[in-house]
Amino acid sequence: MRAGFGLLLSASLLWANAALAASAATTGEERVAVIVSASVAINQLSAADVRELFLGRKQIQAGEHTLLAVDNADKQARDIFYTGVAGMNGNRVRAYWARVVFSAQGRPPPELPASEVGRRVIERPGTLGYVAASSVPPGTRVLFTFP
Amino acid sequence: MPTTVCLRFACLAVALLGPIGHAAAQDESAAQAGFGERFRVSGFGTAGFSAYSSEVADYVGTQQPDGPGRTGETSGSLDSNLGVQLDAQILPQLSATLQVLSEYLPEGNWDPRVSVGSLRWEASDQLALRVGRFQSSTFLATDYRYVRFANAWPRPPREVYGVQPTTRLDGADLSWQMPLRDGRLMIRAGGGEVTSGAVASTAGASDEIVYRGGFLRAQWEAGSWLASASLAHNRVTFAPSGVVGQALQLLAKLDPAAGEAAIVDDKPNTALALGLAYDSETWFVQAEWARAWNDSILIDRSGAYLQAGHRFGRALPYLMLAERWTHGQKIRSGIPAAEALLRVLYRNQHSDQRSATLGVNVELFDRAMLKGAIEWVRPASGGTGLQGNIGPGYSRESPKSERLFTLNLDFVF
Repeated sequence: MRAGFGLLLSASLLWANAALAASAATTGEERVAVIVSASVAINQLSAADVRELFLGRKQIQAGEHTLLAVDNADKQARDIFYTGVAGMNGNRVRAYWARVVFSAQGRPPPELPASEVGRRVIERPGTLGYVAASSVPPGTRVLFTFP
Repeated sequence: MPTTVCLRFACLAVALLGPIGHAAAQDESAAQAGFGERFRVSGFGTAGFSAYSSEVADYVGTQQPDGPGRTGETSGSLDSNLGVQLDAQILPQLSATLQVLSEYLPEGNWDPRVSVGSLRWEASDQLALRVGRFQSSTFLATDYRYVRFANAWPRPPREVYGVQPTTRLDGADLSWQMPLRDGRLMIRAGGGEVTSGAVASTAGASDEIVYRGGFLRAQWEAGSWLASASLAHNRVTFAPSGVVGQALQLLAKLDPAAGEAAIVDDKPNTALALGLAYDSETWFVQAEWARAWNDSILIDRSGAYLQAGHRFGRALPYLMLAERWTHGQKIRSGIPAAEALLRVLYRNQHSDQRSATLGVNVELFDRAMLKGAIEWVRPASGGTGLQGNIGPGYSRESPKSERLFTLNLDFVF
């Protein structure tokens, strides 16, 4: 029994070390831009509003539009955005939504492939998305950049 | 029966999702959302492994009949589970959820059960009504305690989450939220019927306790902080089988007044729970305290825990300390034989214990978490703590400290 515990403890320390090494090797820093259709007038929107909107805690009206959030399926963009806006990495955001979704109290924003986010923002005015800052599509306006 | 009506109502709604959803497509907002965004299948699960050092007792989950230890040194049943959920946005303000969960049950099987089957109507961005079956909301994480990926511990600390053994609730609740100090305050009030497997030390593990009543919960979220307070008041009904049932019958014959006081038939129960969590990029701290009062043979209980950890990249090593107290004998008899019987009934519910857990959670990859933990369990003298399946050779007077090793893979999809 004691030997078994020792073996399992050693194994757990090994995978903890491996994971720490993996986290240290995170890819280079990029920036993401929060975008909205250029046709939508937004006078006041703070980073805290964006956080509350993407975490489903607040509804925000911009003129005739109720703002809607869409998530980017690209893991790196998602990590940079949520770390910047809410101090949460991708899995912490997933844990947050798991708490909401599996207690039947709400739904996360729809998740779209990176190539679809810009198109959705343009096609449905009032939609907020985030894309790599280097590939902001024409017809959209940048509200914030992270980090 | 209200329970059945509520559940049937929710299931019927889910069954009708297709045609209603089609009709909803005529609504402008719903028409904009594609099929994949109106209907969503998701799930969660844990592949768990645990080993317990005792040969005379099992480490059991709050409502499980056995576990690692005496039954077998290792086990996969303590934490393993699998849940699948279908969500549907029927109308912009109306959604439905059906969740089916398979886990190790008090009956000793893994039969899938409906854990959530509810309709949610958002009357405004502040007010929402939910009807059907959902998880009771007593503690900080009761609603999503099965979703181990969403929690920092391997399983809900039994010292607290067993104080009021509640599971699914068939009924309705109303939630109202408002901005408060850079955060959100949510008040939930509801009621219905909660059914729960009996605590193993109270009676046969598969006996059901039924709570009927209401609850009020306040929760405040702001940045990294989460605080909650809840109060539940119920009427409890519980007809234990086996030795405990026979003992209660004997008590009623020896002392009818004490027997009437002891019987758990529509008796009041009140539970109060407080929780506080701080979850930032670097530190994670969570603490809860809970107390339950009963007007029957069910013993009053309290529990508390404190968990604190620090994030290092994808790893969260932590320490958790937990304690359970029971509050002694409330019903007494002037008849010696009845008093002796009452003492035995109370002593068998003596579940005081302390535990310390050293663990590390590692984000393996997107949507998956590996958790390893060692828990030291120290039952208080005079009882068995929260262990189950106590065997011959167990010393109540001087119980041994034991160790539980856990290695779990938690995931969502």
